[in-house]
Amino acid sequence: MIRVVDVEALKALKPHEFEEAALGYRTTSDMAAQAKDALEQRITPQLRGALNGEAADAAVAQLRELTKDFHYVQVECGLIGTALNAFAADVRPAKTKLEQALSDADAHRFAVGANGSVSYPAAGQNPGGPPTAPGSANGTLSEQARALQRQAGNFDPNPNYAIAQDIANRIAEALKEATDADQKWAPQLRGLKVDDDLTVSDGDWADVQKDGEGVREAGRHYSDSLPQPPKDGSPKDNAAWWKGLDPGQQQAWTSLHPDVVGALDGVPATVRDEANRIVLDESRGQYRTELDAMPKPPANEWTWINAGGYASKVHTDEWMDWYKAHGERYEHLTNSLKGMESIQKRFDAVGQNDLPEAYLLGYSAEGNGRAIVANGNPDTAVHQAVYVPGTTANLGSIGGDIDRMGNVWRVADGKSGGQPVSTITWLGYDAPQDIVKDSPFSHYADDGAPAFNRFMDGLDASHTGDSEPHRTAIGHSYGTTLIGSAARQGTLNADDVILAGSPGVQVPKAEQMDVPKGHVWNLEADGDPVPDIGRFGHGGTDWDGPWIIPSDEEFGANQMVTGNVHGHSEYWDADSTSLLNQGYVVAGRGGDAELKAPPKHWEHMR
Amino acid sequence: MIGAGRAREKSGVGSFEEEWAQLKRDAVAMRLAGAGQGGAGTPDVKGSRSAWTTAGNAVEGLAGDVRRAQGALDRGQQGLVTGGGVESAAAQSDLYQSWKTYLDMVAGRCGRLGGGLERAGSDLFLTDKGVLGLFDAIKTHDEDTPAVGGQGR
Repeated sequence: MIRVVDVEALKALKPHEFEEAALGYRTTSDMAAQAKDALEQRITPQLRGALNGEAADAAVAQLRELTKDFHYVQVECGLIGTALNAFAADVRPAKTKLEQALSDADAHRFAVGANGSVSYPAAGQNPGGPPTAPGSANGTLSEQARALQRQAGNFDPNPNYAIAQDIANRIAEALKEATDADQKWAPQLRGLKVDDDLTVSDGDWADVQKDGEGVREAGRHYSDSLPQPPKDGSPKDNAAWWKGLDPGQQQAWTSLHPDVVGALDGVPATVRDEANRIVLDESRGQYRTELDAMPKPPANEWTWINAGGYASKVHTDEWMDWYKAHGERYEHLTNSLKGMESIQKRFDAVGQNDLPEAYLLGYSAEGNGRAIVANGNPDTAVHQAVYVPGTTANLGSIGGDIDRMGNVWRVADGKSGGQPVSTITWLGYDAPQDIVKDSPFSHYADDGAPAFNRFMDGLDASHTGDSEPHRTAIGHSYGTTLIGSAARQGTLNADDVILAGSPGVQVPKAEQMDVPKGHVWNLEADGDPVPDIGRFGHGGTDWDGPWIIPSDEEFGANQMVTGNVHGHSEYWDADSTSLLNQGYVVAGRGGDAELKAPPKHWEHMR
Repeated sequence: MIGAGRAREKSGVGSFEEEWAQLKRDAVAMRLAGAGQGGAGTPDVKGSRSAWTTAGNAVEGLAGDVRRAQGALDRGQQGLVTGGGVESAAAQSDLYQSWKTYLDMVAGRCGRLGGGLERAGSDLFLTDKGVLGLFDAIKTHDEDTPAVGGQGR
């Protein structure tokens, strides 16, 4: 049963009062964001740093629960504020239309009833007929009825009839529009009522996501009326767009489209972080809820069959049935959740081992996933470093890549003479997932490189310091190929480049890496097979020969000492010379890095 | 240690940074002096006691922030006509009541937790077990209920 908004109700309804209510929610959301940050960045780490033991653990656990409460308040109140503003925007035209119609009625001294009918007095002459009569017009929305009314108006000797009918029709339109808006928003607002307990569960976050979808759907008209981010805009354009929004519009964008705001290069790091954390918590709630509802993999996964006299281990039929129905999704959910936990672990580690606060600058659980995690705020840092992981990198394995940049942060921060440092793990591309089947191909690097260039330009656009930051690009393995591709395809916005275990960077010379001469730094550890295997796929070619990689003398990179790290995966081990040398470069002190002669590849390859 | 200039600007905690810097220096000095790990209930360990107290004060300060936000929420409601034939207005009013109550609960949690932290720092006769019991009680108080969000994991 639809409850129609009548004339009195629409007259009494004040859109700006809803906007003022929205402001209250925005203030609450901002308060909660600050409280959440205070808990995560200061209160909890500092208690953790000073105290040990079971009692301290119990206290920290409670502080984390409180942090979740505040994040929940922040996101939901942001959404409510946006919903109230959208409702106000939707009813305002109806209200204006009604006021206009009422004022016209008033000018003609017509009376308007609660249901919108318009009564008019007798007027005019009716030569040869009875005197004109007073009457009452009921509004209609039907075009057909209106056509008939217009005809009748032409014959009616009382000129008031046509005027009153027009007013009544406009009132009917206004009431219809107001009723539509009311019917659309009332259930949304009711749906935003808060949980009745303080434990913010997965189910709660899954609900937040549904709330967001509901408000997004209902608020489409409002959302479209907001200034839109520039289409294919540069990071500078994006930064200008964000700056041009008023606080209410900023909140609307973050609340309605956190995925868009979180991914926009050039938008301030704190804003991207706030947006991406909404997406993170919502997707975690959604994934866990989905996983809980999925049948568990059968316990009897394996069986033995006798094939040609030999016993072979095979999957049971039961397990295969389960796998066919759920296997792929199950793996995606569990793997993604693992990555989400790694990111959360980093947030919880603020203050531990001196780690600074963390910022989530990019995030998505779709496909292989995306995660861009910063140690320290890049917008206020003097030294920035951005690390591109290589083959097999995905959301599930992000933890190891986050730890590597934590290690670089610690060393660089110690060498920077007090200048703030920010180190960033950038999983912003689809890395090859199979070292044999995928890694030899260039398209993963070529597809990801433009996104990397945009991200690096974005760090410039959102930086707030007085002077330009010093920026280092760090690549591992296939990640170095991507950085090379970024320099080849566009302009790599970096001052230094560190390449570790590089299979080749598509260009044959250090000077093509878009950094000043002497600022390409290479690391090849003993026993790392990748450079020699990779060169035939990713090496650069020029007059000095084919397949040149950064470890070759002809390439012209500084060869840094790696110390006792071995193989392809130890370049960021704590206390290693390899890590120390990277720390020097990141802190702008590459001159202090220890160098060696290039390894003699061609010799031992013959 | 987080550099003061690097953390985002925060409200409500005042000279928290300096206090902590001092605290950490104290704690290090103590460990060097061989005072051991300490913990609540060991009255000779000044550093760990003030660590509890400082955290407690900060968390109680958050309760004040919640109250201020409630004030803003309340001011936003003034002049709104409830009922009167607009369903969204009635829905908004219910919504507001639910959040007012929830924020009361959050402020209450800050008060309980902040009070517990402070007591852990100030009560000289509280043993580690006693402190643990304090937080267990707070935990039980704030458990999930199935009504709206459901009993999540």
